[in-house]
Amino acid sequence: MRKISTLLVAVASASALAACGSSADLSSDGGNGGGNTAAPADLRFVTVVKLTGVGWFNRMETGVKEFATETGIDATQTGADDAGPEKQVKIIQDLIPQRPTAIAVVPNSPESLEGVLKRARDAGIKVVTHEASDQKNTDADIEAFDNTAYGAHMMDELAKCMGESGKYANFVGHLTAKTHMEWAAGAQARAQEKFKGVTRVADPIESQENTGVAYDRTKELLTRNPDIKGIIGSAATDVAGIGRAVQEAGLQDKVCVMGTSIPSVSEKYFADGSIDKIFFWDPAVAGKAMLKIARLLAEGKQVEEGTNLGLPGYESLKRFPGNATTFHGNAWIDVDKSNAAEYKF
Amino acid sequence: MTGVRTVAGVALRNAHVTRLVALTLLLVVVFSALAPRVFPTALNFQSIAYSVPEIGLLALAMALTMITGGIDLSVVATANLAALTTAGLYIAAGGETATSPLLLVAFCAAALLVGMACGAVNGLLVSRVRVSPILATLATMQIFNGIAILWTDGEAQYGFPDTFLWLGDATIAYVPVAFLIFIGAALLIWHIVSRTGLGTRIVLVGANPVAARYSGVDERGVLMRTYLISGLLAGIAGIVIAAKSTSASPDYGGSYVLLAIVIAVLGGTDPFGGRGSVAGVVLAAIALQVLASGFNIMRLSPFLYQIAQGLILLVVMVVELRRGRLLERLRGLLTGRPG
Amino acid sequence: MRLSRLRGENNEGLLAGLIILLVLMMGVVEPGFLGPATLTNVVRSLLVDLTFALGMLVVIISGGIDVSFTAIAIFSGYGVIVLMNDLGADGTVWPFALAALAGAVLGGLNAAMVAGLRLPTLIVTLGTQGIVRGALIAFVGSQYLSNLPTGLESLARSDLFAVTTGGGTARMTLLALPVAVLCVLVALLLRSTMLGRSIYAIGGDVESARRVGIRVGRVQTFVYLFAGALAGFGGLMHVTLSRQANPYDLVGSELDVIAAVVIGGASIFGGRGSVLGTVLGVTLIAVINNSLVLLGVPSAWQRLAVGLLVLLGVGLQALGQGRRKSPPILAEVRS
Repeated sequence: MRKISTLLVAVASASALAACGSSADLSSDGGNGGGNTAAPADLRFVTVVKLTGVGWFNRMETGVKEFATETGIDATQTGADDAGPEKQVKIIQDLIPQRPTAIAVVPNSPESLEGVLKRARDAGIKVVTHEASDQKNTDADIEAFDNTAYGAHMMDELAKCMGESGKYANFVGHLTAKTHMEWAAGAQARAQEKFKGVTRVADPIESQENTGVAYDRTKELLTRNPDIKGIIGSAATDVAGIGRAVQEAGLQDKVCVMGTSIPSVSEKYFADGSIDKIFFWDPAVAGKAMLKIARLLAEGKQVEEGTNLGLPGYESLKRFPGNATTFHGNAWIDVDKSNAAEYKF
Repeated sequence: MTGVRTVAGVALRNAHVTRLVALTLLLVVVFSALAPRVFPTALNFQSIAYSVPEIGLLALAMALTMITGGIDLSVVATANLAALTTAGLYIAAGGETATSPLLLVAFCAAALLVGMACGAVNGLLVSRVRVSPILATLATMQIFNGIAILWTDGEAQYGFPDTFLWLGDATIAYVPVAFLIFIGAALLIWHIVSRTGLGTRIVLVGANPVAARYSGVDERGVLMRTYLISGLLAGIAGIVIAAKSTSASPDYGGSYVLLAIVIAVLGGTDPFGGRGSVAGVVLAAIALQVLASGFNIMRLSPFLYQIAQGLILLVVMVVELRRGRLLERLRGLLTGRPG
Repeated sequence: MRLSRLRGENNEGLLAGLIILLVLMMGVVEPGFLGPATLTNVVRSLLVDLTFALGMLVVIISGGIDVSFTAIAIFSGYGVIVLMNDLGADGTVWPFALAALAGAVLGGLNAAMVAGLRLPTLIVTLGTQGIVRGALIAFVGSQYLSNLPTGLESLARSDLFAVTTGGGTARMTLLALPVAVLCVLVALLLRSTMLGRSIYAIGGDVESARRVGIRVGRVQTFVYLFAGALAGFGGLMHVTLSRQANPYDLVGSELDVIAAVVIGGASIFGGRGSVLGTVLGVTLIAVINNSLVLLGVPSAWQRLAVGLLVLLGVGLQALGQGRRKSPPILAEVRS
């Protein structure tokens, strides 16, 4: 009897917490959504990134803050302390009662967020995503570029460096990292179409987003394929591990190392050619792009083919074929030792 | 009159549960004061209620195994496997068009069976092969996770019909269905632990395994059943996760293992075995999700929350388990006599 | 009789045999594998884990388990680099001493909880892991540092010796030396000192050890301080060898180290374990991990493989022990 009473007390308190408060709040009247031109100061945008504290997203935060200063909109960035999907879900879940005008998300796992993003949209919040070209529950997804075209561009540069012949390998963060896999597929398709002398030695290799793993795997690659001429990295720290391995093997001049990275991670390997070139898109600009789109949506406007966001690389958005809500710009940046000093992140 | 006295009596005799209720209310009050426009709203509490069930179920599974003096580190991996089972079955049955309630029941049952199968593996290792539960479940965690990744090529699985998603999305009288599932499961476990012979034996095996053995308690059977139930709970958690996220993924919930342990300990479970309270675990789950939401709403650094989680774990353990010894040591320090 | 001696107290012989078998198999699949480059690569890739494993070995022998070592390691390693950068200091030896000291201090938190308050080791170390890691990123820094102080950078590129063959140069890193010395020291500690014997005794049965007069609290304090120091040392070694300091590193890779120690024959029920077994366990896992690309096997199999190996290792151990422990009266009761 005692125990039942205790449990009932517990359950009652719990349910009370779950259901209390004025029920009027539960309507999906967002207050800020819809087609009215609210003053900037009334708008609130929250950017939710994959992982907080790392260089890439610190740079994105710079862009978010610039946007806030330029427009007067309350724009902030938040993120969890690890790249696990469940923490991002909780952050977004906890944002819903705060009724921001829009949430801009860079998902760790787009699929895991579908549920909570749907709830957010049901509550009248606009959702913009980045690096999530298949996200269903989004009002607009913006990619810096078409992943296949980006992969092809990397292959153009790699093949040039390799003299258009030889073997290469391609690292990805995880085999589940869709974006990385699309880059790799784009590169391989380009090689098969245009650079028939360039062949890939293996399927994409996982670095597990860990520079040490990239390093170890590269050493094995070099042992197994002593005549390899090119290696592409996908996660930002891949090329650092790859370059280090190539440097230690003394093969800087023989192996072309390129990949997606940021200057601060790779520049120390440019000097002796351990890393030949890196590619990236400026996360600050991408962050601003998301927010500009959020503003358009908040004002009741649409994002169309050809929309100009007024940002470098995003002057004429293209829609992805077959997907009405995914757009991309043309915003990749090539960096090698000649221009690394221009980028301070 | 008698009613009031009974409630007060209940509250006094279950001091731990009362403390947890007080803690939860305190947190609600503090955060409501700090964020008055956002925190004390129905939508916020509903949000919190959405996030409690999956971790609450995992914490119940964890607590049950801890009562026997063991632990189950593989609960999250098991939940993911169960979630992937429902996903795989639904995709094979046609995905979003497979709305028949019969399929819903069948596929959920399949998920529960998978959960119990994983529990059985753990149970066998702990009860028959006599492997330490820490190592056994650490290994099975890796193995189940590896199986999930290989099964899906690491990709999350989509394709649930509305009938299934209803479990994760719908509300009844503003209370999320998933939360009701959690409470239902908690009631079931409470019944098992407090009202059945199995429950008594579970507590006995945890409290004093040697005495239990010499009293003729079938320790192996008890342990096996404990891990089976833990697997079942993990399976339910998997269903809730899949329904809420509308997807199943092999890598979801990595941070939940530690959180489940914190909730179990906060809820009054003695990690050395022999003591635990279902009501405590339920309240602790709610309290910690309230805390997490509060941190999110206050835009505090997630690393501060990580520190807070670790501190809570240590402080609760010290207070609950070693209050006497700690006081002794402090007295010794102050008076100069050995503690 | 001689064959079973070869097998070793903790199945070390079996492990060695397994490693040799694997290496030979790799050699068949990929002739380039059997060369000095592989040896130096494998050694380099296992140095950090081996350092951690030595600390874990001592903890497990004492009957506990520690999952906070990765957080302590990266805190110490990253923290020392940040300190050196802030002070503009440089060096090759004193940073390691400082890192070990920092690790020991952090390990003191574990020691206080486990030795002082007798709390369960897994959960205590889970708690300290969260606190240490959170504190690192919240208070010390979250930036990826790609440039280390010159002294450490050059240490990373220093060789103990180098062998040049047709396929390239195989370099054995200088840092292999301190780790080898550590192995010898820990082995001596465990086998030849009273402290070492006490650690085994506590692992076997705490109460009995207490009654024999062993100062359990002190020995346990030593164990966790020592494990912390080794973790700190290993953390700076990791940072140095990878020539970058990333505060997000290391945490998450605890299982590989625990697996290596357990596979090497140490028993979590305490009282068993050897340095040789640990070295072999670490080598086995490193050989397996390092060969994945060679065989073209997806890395998802790696998680599965390590998990299965752990089960195999502890399972064999447990079955072996179980046969000895059942008192005759229980046989009566059960029958």
